[in-house]
Amino acid sequence: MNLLDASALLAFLKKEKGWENIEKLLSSSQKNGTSVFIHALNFVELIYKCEQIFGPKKTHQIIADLQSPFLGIINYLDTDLTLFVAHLKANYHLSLAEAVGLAHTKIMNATFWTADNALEDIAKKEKISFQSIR
Amino acid sequence: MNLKVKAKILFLEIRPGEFQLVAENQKNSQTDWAKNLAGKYRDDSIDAVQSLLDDRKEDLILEQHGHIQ
Repeated sequence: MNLLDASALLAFLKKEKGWENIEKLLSSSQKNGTSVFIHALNFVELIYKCEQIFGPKKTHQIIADLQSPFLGIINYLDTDLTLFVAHLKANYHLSLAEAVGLAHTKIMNATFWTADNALEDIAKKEKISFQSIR
Repeated sequence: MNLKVKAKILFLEIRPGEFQLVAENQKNSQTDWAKNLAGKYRDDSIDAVQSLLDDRKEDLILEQHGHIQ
């Protein structure tokens, strides 16, 4: 299973450095009839950044474009995830959204795709599968 | 009766009892979804990824100073 960070999906949409890796991932998942996921909190980051850059009207179009069976937005925050987010926040220097993305990846035994290379050391220490797009 | 299956919808059980629609192996407009969306919103006026990463750093600084929880 593959999870996207907001930074990875943003790079894909805006064709910024590393975007090809996400295109390959999404195309491959689509071909195989599977989905790639993003946690709702990371999706919030993507959307607010889009609104800052493009304004609300175009952002609504982006949201519509992202509606696909091949991209799942997961909004659960159960006890296991909550506790692991708290563990990351208590022990490392990272934002809440970053903590949610990494914790979600750990709980789902997935791979985290991101442009945020500052998270790599934390991922290694916590045995979280990490894939930098840059 | 002549039935023809046009789509097969697949679900993934995210958590016990919680299902997510994950794919629909239908040859329709979604065929080139990823390819068509890649770089559709290209805009060289701002490095959006770097801007997002900077925001995260700023959030951490604000947290440390007690402005947000």
